[in-house]
Amino acid sequence: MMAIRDGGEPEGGGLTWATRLRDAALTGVIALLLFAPLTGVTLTGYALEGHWQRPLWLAAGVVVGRLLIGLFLEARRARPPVESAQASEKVGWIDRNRPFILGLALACALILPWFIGKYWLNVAILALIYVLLALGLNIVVGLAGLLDLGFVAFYAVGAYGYALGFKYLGLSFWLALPSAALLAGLCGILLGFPVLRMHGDYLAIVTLGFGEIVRLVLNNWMELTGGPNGVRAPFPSLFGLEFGRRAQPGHTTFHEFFQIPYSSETRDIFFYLLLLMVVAGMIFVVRRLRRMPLGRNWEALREDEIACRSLGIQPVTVKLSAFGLGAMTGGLGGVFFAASQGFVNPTSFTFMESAHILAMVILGGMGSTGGVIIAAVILTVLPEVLRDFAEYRGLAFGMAMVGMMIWRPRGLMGIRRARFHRSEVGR
Amino acid sequence: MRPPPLLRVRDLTMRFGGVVALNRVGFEVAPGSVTALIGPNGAGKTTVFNCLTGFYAPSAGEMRFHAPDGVEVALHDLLGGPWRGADFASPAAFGWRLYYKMFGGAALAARAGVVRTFQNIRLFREMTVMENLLVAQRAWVNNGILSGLLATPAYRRAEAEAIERAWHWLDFFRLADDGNRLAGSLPYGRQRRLEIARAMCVEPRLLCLDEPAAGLNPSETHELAEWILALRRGHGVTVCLIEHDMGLVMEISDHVVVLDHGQVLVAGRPEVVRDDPAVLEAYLGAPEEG
Repeated sequence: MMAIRDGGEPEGGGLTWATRLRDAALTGVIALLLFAPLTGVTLTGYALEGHWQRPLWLAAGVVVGRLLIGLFLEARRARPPVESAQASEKVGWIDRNRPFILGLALACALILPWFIGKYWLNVAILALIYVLLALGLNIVVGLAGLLDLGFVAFYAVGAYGYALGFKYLGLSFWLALPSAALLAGLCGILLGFPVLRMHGDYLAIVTLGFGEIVRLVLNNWMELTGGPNGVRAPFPSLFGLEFGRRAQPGHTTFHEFFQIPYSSETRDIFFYLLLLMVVAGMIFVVRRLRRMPLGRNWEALREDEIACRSLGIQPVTVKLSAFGLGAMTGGLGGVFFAASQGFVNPTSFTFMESAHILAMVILGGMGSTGGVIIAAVILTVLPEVLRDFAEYRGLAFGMAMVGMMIWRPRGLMGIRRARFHRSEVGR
Repeated sequence: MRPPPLLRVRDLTMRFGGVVALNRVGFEVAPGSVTALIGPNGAGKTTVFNCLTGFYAPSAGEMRFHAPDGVEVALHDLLGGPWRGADFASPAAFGWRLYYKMFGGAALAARAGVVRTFQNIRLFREMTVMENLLVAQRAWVNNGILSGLLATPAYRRAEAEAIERAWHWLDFFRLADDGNRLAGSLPYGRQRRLEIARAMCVEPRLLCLDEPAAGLNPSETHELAEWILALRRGHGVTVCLIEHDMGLVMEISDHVVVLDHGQVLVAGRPEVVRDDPAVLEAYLGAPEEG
């Protein structure tokens, strides 16, 4: 079967079976060397125990993986570079079936909550929140090219905006959604002003500091935020219908209104679908923005700020809009996070969180919407799947990053650029 | 009577610390002309361009430009010059100075109609050729976020017109086949052309070309000369260029300004400048005595 596929695919030509097998064997040996001390020896009491089958299995997995990479991914890389520059001219299989694939993905996402348990539903909700955050950071880092290491600050502003708004102003979820997002956007613009003239490393340091400042303020302003004790954030209601087992006085619960038996899962399914709608809306917005003058200006700014200025584009407004819109998306994610947890405290908004979101953007391919979404889902779901190997999570993460930089330095998915054709009217 | 000059530069001085890069430079650019700025390396040609297009705020002097609507624009004000005592006396002057400090500079100069290209090509390399041209059409596209998200008819019309205009310039510079390629993947000569096409999308009154023929072979340089003349003839663009290729300069320019050590050495018609002993001396060194 494999052989037939190989023969029928002349583009894969550069690699022969011999090189593929040799590569796979070599990787296997390296994996064996790496895994043997890590997984093959355990310390029980004072005695060393050998588990020699473990590294062997892991290495076997690596060999198979390497073989698959050689078969499918490298076949494309093996083409001469000139041709790969032209390859973007061709319309790929994914592009032709794009509406179909998108529809299928959306349909799957819609029916998903009824097939997975409560635990995985919560993981899915978390994944969607991260998709939202990654989309927001993608605007700032991927499109506008402004390296932001403190993105978690806007996430915190959104989450605390909702929690504190409820505590002090009695703000409902539905009102908090736009207002906390706007507040986060405003914070983004405020941060943007002092850093307008900074690039690269310097910008990264300042935004890193900003993220820490927000976290420390939240942690230490006991009177307002409750410090490390955190603040409660209520669950959203649907047109006044609550999702608890019993309603607060004067309210009705969802299951009573629709005459269905109470189940705590109803609540999560509702939340998941709501979040899914927001994420879908955000994907639409980001995709459109990329083809709009504003989005093009962001990318132009990333490519060359001086050229932008020479063409009459005002870098100030372009940068601030990127900061503002990115932060707004982050704030939106924050509101959902607060509502899903029912409680926020500063430990959720550490620098590690910023790094995690940034990793999603980089892994997904800077600026590529689809890639970033996939990376966000993978990076949230994979640690849950690998819960038994929790100690090795860092190792796996690092290896994935190194592998990415070697094989796909531009991210999981390439960036699809808008194509233009001559209008049918002219000429 | 001669028409008033499109650009009048007077006493332009630029100091970087103790270094005087430009010392009271003055010249005029007549509308519809091709004016060449020449001089040995380090003479200050690019510094003049940087001042004209708003990348440097000159230390002293003035640059007056006749904008398309007939209004005279003081370019030196657009660049957010240093604070003066008078600015603190009147709130309006204070506000404008602050605005120009904040939002001023090159972007405003470009909007006034002075657009430049760069000695080392500055394209948006990871964007396609068409996108490069669309970015340049800031003034014609519909910038509203909401109208863009909803794709309103007005937005789509503006977008279609921008695309049409971009195709026009691609045709003009024979780049139409490369419309959907990444700008960074084009061969060098075409990148040069694309940069000029992109500048033309801003619809400049004064096009400043910084060494447009650098790195081009003789036939490409010849084509470039014809394009520049065609731009002037067909599109009413005034061209100001820095160039080391004397053949090109002598072929297309109406007026030549020779700079040396930050000062104007000679200015005049190309054939006059060519035979001027001071120019020969600046380029070739003083002839030995005897």
